[in-house]
Amino acid sequence: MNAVELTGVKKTIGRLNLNIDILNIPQGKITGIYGIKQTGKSTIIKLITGIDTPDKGRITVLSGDLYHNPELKGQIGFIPDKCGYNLESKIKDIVASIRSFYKNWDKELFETLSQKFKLEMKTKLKLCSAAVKIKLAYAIALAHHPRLIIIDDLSSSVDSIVSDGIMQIVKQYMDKDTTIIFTTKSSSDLDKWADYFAILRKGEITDFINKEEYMKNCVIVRGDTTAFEGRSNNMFRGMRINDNQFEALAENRDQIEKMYGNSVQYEKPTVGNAVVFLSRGDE
Amino acid sequence: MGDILNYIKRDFIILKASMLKYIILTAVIFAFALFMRNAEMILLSVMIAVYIFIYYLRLYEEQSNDRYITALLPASKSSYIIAKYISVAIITLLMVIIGYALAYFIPSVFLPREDIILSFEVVLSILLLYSAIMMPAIYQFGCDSIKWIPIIPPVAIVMVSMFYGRQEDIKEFFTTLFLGEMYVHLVLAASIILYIVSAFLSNKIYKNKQYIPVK
Repeated sequence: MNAVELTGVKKTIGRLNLNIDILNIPQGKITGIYGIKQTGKSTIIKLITGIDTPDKGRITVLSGDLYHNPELKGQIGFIPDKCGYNLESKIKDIVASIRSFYKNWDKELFETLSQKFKLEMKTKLKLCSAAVKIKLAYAIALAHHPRLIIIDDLSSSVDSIVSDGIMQIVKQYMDKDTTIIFTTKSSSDLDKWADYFAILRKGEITDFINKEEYMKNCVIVRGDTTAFEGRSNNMFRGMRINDNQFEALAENRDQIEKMYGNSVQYEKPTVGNAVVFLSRGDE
Repeated sequence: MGDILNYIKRDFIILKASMLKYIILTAVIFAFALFMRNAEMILLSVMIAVYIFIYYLRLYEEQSNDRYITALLPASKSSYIIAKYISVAIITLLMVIIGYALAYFIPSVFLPREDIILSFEVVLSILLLYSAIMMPAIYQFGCDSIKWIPIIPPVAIVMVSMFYGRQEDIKEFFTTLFLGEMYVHLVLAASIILYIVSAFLSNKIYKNKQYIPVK
């Protein structure tokens, strides 16, 4: 079952043409959407959250249409890339202004999370650090037991140590069937947190990958270009040829090893390496 | 209904820090204006104060990522608009009441009871009309695009009243403005109706807009 489904979605904003044939995000899993700047990550988040509507296509979130069913939003926890709360208000006032909208607001869970995140309830938000601001957003997002948590740019406003700490607490306190979707510019976030990841290039989803299965089977292949002459290149991704040296990612290790034997070198990639090959395209 | 109350509560909580200073400032200017028996000053001060509140109520969402938070709250756009109109009406009423209460307790400006009620109704009518025109414009064009336009009506009122000669008597000024005492109640009723119509218009505008306009 899918938590989010995008089918034939098109959206043009300025120079960005988002064009997604199909993107199905499985329920109960953590999915990362990877892309460099201006590839459409935030636009996808806006479309999924119902903040914006597509020019064409259909988006289903938790089996419904979020834009026209605002009550569904009660099952979503959203963490923006920057602090979205009124900076002049105290943390306790911000929480008071939001909690009454959520039927499932769990006061005890929020208190536990605010202790874990060391939130000082009587402090004005403008006096808090970027880390505290983002922790507040996480505490609010988790406290109403959302079925879907959406994180816009996981590591944008805090360093990786802080975001790792936050994500560990999120994984500890989120409900079992909760789905997490995050966007990121950092492949290490995919390595650490994602069960699935999508690669977004120039407004298109080029790959949607089950991380564990994919990493079992893929391999980086390097060797002299003569070893590859006369053979098809369609088993390789992100090919590079420099000074007669060939380098590419292959998605079926067994098949490649049978075909090339000892004439090339094989290297098991990290998720980060694999993402670099997948996102750079062939040259 | 629950969502509307939640939005109103949210408006007042978020504005809490700034609200007290605005109400005190407005009330003091308003009381001073009554003390001076200067009708234009009364209108100008209260209209500007109401404008600041309307602007601020919308702006805190437009100028920060709070627009994302607002857009993702599990409540309809209609509840949001109705709540905003109720918030503005409450703030308007509060400011007029506090201003008059302050004036009432300053013995030297004590006005006859009927004059206070009459001018209260007129000021309230003008403010409701003013908000009724401004709010759909804010939802259609955004705060930044029209930030100087709302200043025009209060300034125009002052200019017109100066052009026709200074009205020393508040009651006379207000009754002249509304073509006679008997029309004051009617004008208040009409203002309330127009304010409600304006809410429907803003709702229609906001429903057809994206939560976050693309720039």
